Amino acid sequence: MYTLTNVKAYYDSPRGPIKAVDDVSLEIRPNEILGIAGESGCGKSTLIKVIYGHINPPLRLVSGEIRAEMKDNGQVSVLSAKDLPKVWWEFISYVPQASMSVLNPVMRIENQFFDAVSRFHRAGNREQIRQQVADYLQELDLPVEVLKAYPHQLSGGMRQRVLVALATFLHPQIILADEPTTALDVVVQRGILRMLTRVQQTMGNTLIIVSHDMGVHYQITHRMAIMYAGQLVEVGPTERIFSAAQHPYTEMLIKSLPRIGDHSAREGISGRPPSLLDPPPGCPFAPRCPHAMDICTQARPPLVQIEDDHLSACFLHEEAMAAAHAQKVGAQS
Amino acid sequence: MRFAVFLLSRLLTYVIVVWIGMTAVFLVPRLMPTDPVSAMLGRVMSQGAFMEPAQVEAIRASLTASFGLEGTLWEQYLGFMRRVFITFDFGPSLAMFPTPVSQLIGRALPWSLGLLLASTLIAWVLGNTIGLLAGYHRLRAYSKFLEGFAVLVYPIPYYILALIMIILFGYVWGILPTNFSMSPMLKPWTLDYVWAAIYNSILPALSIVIVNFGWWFLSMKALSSTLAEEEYVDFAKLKGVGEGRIMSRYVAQNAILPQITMLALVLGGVFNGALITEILFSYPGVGSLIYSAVLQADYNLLMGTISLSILAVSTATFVVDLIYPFIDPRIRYR
Repeated sequence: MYTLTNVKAYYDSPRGPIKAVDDVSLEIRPNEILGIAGESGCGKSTLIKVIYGHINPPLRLVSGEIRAEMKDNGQVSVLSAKDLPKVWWEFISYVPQASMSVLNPVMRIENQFFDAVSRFHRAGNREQIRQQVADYLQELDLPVEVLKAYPHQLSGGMRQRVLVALATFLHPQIILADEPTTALDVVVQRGILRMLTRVQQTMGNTLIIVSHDMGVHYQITHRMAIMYAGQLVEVGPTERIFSAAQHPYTEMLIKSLPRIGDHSAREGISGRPPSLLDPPPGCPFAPRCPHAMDICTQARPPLVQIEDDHLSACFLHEEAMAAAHAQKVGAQS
Repeated sequence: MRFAVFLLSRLLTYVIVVWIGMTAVFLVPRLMPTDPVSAMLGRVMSQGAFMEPAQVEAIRASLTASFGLEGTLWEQYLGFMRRVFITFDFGPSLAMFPTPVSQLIGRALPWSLGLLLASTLIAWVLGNTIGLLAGYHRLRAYSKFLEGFAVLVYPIPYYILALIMIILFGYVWGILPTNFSMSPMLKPWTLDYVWAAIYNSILPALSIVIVNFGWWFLSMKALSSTLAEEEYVDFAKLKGVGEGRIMSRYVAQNAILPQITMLALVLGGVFNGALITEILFSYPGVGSLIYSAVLQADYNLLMGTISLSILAVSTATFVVDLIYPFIDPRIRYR
């Protein structure tokens, strides 16, 4: 179990703080695939950084709490954001964007592999690790020869598979995948996604997948969090998000997806997302929202439960209105 | 097999380059309007010696023979090539007649090699190490200070810097000799001899180190500060790799590649001597030799030193080609 409570993480810039993660609360559960969706620049990658515990200047954790429960030999230890770098790869691991050149061009794959995993005692000495890594690659149907190869000798898909293998080798409880299939062709994409889901099923751990591709989310995730302008606007079971989206932004996002057999032109969402440097005071989606009311530009709608395990942040929901009202009354008295 | 093909093709290129270079060395002096034999004779005559026409003809013939100017151009060319590639014999020096050119070069070369190899390598190691640190920590104060210093020192013309050093070390503080002067009484390779050689070389070596350091530092800093922002460096941090290892294996190993190429080329140039350094510090190296050869129109000596330089630079390039696949896995023998 991993929880984020009212987390605010800003980038310091000369023009003021960039509010990339602005008051996000999220519960990450064991044995699930959680999707984080949203358009470019909405703060998805920053949220992943925060969850990973990679908070370095200019990124700063302004407020909020991060609480991770790590199970180790039956014992549970509670970790905060600061402790996470010590347990990278062992407790929480990271699969980078496929489009990035994250492998050192002048080092053999095996050495880059060892760099990440040899810090841990259970991995044993070098020869033992080599054998374990080779066994693990075989388990994942990857050729063992890739270990001796240099990055340029592997295809983009193979490089990404190696990175997935690296991220899952130590059986971490949480695997973060940031756009793991972007820039790969659809056949390779499918292979990578299947590999990720297969690993998740065997290990029974948590996979958090960030993507702007709604198709990816539909295919593999169990639960989804929709992010807009640094905030979560809707969190719920994937199936419900696609069949009964609650937030206007999610609704429009789903509507814009093409469907087989439907030849009518797709509608986009007009306007642009707000600047994270100076977001509007109320609901960040209000300027583009067809249902915007007066209150939307004044107060921020809280994330409230609409149905079982399905939360949304919009004043169209009576629950949100009531919660905002209660808050206002509370503040006045 | 692949390696053999690669080696042969590179070797062929190497031989062709050297051959073209040597042909140019052979042809260019022959395009000059002055005839070296007449020039030499004129010089001898102008010193006031009276000679019979027959004597003059005899001297002309012997000079023509020793300059390798007998026969047709083709015969001269073949003779020249044989001498260059087989015996490395460029005939006698004209200015220091009849000392052979090869002997003059042989005497000057060790001095140039000692001075330049040592100072080049010291500057390379220092510049790259400090440049790597400063590039990796590009946002820290010491990095900015060092860069400011290097940018300030590097553009100073070498001869000005050297003169300033001579004034400071030789006259103001008076701690180092400004002119190369070793007692002829010293026997080679005794402790005193080696010490005197080093002592006399400190100032010229230091001046070369300072100037070269600036270049290596600035280029390495630029390279490593770019590489420090590469995605694989960020990912290495996410892997939890220590800073020392990130610097050595992820940044330095990539940044050093062009630096090795440059070093090899510079080392090839070591055989040219260091013209200005050697003149300023009266250093008995190849640079001084070239200088005097030019001043005294010593064709043979000039051709000898230039041939040596062509050979050295092309050999260095050839060696770089050979070692590159070992240091950069992306380059294969093809």
